[in-house]
Amino acid sequence: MPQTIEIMSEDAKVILLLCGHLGKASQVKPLALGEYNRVARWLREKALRPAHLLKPDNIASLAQEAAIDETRLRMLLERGMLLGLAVENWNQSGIWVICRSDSEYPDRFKLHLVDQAPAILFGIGNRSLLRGGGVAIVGSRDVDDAGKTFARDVAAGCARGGVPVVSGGARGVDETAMSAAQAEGGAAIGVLANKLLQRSVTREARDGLANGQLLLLSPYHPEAGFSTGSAMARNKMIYALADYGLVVSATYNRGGTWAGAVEEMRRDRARPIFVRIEKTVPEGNRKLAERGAIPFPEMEGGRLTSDWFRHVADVDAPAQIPLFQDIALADIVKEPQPTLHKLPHPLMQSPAPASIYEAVVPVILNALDEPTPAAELAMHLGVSKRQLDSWLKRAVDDGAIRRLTRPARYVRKDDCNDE
Amino acid sequence: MSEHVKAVALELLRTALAQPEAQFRNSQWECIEGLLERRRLLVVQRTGWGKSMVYFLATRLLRDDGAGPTLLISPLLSLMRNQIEAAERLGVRAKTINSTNPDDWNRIEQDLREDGIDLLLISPERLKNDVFRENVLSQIAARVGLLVVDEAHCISDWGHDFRPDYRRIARVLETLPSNIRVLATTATANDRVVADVASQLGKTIDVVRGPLRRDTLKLQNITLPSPVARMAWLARTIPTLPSSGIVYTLTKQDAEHVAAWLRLNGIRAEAYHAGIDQLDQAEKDLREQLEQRLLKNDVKVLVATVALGMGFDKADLGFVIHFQRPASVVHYYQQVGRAGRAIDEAFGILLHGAEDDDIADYFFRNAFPPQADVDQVLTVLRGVDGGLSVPELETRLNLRRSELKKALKFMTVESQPPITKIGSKWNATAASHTYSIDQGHVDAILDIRRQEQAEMQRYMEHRGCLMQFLAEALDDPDAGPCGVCAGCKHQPLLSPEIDPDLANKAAVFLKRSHQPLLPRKQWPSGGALPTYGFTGKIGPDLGAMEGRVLCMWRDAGWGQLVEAGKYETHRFDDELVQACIDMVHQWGPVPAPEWVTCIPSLERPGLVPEFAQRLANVLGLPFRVSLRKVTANRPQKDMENSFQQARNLDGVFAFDPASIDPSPCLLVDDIVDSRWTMTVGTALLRQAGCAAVFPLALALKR
Repeated sequence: MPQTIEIMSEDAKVILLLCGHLGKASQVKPLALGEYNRVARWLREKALRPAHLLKPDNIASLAQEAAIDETRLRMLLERGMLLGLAVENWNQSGIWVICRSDSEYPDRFKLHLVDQAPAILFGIGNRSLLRGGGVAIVGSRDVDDAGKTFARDVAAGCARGGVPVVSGGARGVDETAMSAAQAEGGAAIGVLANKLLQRSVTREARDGLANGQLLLLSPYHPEAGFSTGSAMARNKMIYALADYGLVVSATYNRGGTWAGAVEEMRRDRARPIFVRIEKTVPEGNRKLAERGAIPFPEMEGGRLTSDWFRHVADVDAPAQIPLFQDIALADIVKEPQPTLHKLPHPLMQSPAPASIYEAVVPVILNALDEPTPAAELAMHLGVSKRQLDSWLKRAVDDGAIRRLTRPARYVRKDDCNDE
Repeated sequence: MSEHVKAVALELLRTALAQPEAQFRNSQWECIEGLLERRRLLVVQRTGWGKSMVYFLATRLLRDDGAGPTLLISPLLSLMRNQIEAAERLGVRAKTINSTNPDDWNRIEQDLREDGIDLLLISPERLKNDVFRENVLSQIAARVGLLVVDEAHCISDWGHDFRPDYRRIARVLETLPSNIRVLATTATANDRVVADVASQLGKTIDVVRGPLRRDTLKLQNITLPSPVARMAWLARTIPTLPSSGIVYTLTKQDAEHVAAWLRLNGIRAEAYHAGIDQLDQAEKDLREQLEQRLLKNDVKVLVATVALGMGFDKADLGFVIHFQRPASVVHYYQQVGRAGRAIDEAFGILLHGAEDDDIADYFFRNAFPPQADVDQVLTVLRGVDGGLSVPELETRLNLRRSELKKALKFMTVESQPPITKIGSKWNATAASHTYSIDQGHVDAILDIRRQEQAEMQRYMEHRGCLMQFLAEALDDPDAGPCGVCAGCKHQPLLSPEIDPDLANKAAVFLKRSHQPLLPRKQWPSGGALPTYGFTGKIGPDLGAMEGRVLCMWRDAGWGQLVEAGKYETHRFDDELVQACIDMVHQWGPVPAPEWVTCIPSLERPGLVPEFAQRLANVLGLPFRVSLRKVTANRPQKDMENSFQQARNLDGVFAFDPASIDPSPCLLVDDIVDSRWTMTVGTALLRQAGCAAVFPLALALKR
């Protein structure tokens, strides 16, 4: 049987050794995020990489300078066999691990959460969705029917407009929004507080994971149970992965939705937060509006594009962040990042893609050297045709691609001679 | 590495062997040195080279340097006595954990916590056991210093001995950080397998390879087409051979037959196969006991399947005889190479029979689960949320438990498994949507196995040096003529002649291999028999007595006559009646049956009653038809697992109360497979008031 094992980098292994919960019978406490941040800082100062910690000679000085017990560090780093067993077990269920040193680790977490960016991410599903973007649709579990209908309509609109939906995978608003986005052929990202493994094998998740529409992520052990603390802690990750937030229903001064939204609004460079304002909404919704959340405007035509969001949020471009103001720079692997082919199209020159659409357009353009049917292109790019169709449609609207008829094919605009 | 460390290591070696003048064998020290330098090693050396000394010494030196204990993954049931002694002299505290000693686990867990164990031996199967992983393994895994993978050729699915659990080990190795030392060992692997194993162990592995030839081992091939002739040859030859040894058979059934035959001829022989532990629950470590008895020369011969193999190490093994041709040269060398290590003369004899090709074909056909089985399992699992246990799957699938487990196991070790087990339930994963067996890869493996069979055939016919043939086939760079085999001597070492009297006795013996028919103790879970209301335990009120079966279906004794009666002549021969009479007399059921009845059939309504009537006549007992078949069901032989077999019988029999006598009876059927028909028939007779039911059948299918 062909071996397609994802081999972890030694850096990632070390981060997992230091910070991972690898077995119930653990005798030593893994590093908390704050402690790991001190390790990362020390590594950066010494111009070392995490993998250097596998050599015993560095540990004493690290322990002293990062103020972490030396025996504890050694014991954590000795857990290699435990690591191997745990990772193998997770991989068997399709779950992969990404550490802060990996090039695939979402920059959005480092840039938006800074010191709070989790050291380890467990995930399953479409890894290309790790780039994030889109709208975080959040709300309470016990939402009423009007709230559910609203969440469903907005999520479906996002799907039609090529905007991913980010949510928490909980019952109520989260589940409704994620299902609706997928049903409409769009992408959904769920940042889970618990039980990633169990969630991944439910019938609904399997479909989305298999056809590339769904990404499930969690900073917690894949079989971890629920705790209020972890649910709260993951809320910030939902916003960080998105360009905008939308609160469908929040209880005033109580519960994770309220706390998460307020936390986000206080953050430097906060994501623009929308809130549902209808006749009957919970008090929390109105209070969020008073604190500056933007009442979600009337949808027009049922298709919500990133342009539309940009317009109604009144921002020039979403999530403008100075690059590389980053606590975890030392973690960033100096491996070559995926390079996009340089073609003289303006869209290709945008430095940091602000949405998945903008990230994929150059890839699509590059593949369109000659007129190509959508189905063939979808196969070539390894995406579902439904997904590709929405991107193609938008690229045609944007004037980057031209659609030829009889038979229907697509071609780069600068390549086709206007007949 | 300093000379000082080498000097320390040499002292330790001398202590371990209790030989003050001992020196390292060829490349032993280099291996230890490599491990101390954190290199990863694959060591290919013949059995007896001293691999265990390498990891014992490395463990001692690493422990002295403050490293964590060594984890040894091996199919071995336990360390050999001489290994334990060597470890003790080194102060290496070695312990074994396996499924046979759960009572010791707590103690070992405690010792691990207190850092009181230097080396822990576990079997690869343990790795997949969740309870073990959580409670015991994680204790040691939290600080393993050296990982030893024994019989590492099992990692390669190109190899002759691929074990799915080893693929898990390979994947664990992929993610081991570089601060853990890894030693992989094997006694047999050709270049292709070595390359495959090395690539799976990581890019940075060093391969250490030694010569395979064994000078004291004398090889010979003998062609004796019929099993009867080979049994006669064994009975005459084994008493003349040095020390004690092993006879390898390809099937469990042959192992049992041959062992019983040798015992009949006054030879201390025991059967050894993977099934013997299940035969007797009270004797969980029966296999280990048998190994110990062979080590102590307390038996002359173990008649074994491949289950006796890896890790078994007896320095003075005097002979290894193959009753049939093994699957490949690698298999053959590995098995025959156990003989003749520390003994002046040992024999490796390959017998060759007419049935070898059939058995080989059977193993080919069953090497991989068919796509259809896999599809069935996935279809069911994808239709549910929350997963299904194995018994729950059986209620929904007409698959044999062994087939079901084969399909499940095959899928779980894929690189992107379509299923995953959470708790006791199997769940479909997202990968199940696109999963199919990589048939190209499967075909390529089968192709290699066919070539290996052909190579074995060439070995059988080889006229030159047999040892050289084996060594060259295994890519041994130092292969050369051995000078002692039948090929080199140009004459047989052991006479291929057989004693005609013994051959006649063997033929009679084969016809007399009656099988006990043990009563079933438990109705299948999940409600397979709602009409009859049979659930739970089968108590003494409904259960059968121990019965008898005349022969194995299609075997060399009566099996073929039974088959002819059923499908060609439609009447069971009078010889079979007489054979059953002999069997009943030998058996002597108590309380003695006072009447005879039989299992009815709609397809062949007369066949079994007519036979049972004749049997009753000769026994001088009345024959009565008590059970009637009231519903046509699907052929029982198409039902593949317990649940389906039992459910297929629900409500199909009725009984005539007037015909049932409360005295003990014989319940006759022609062919027994799952025993469910006999079990349901018996329960109905018992319900109607019959005091004791003794099942009797002509043939047993396995």
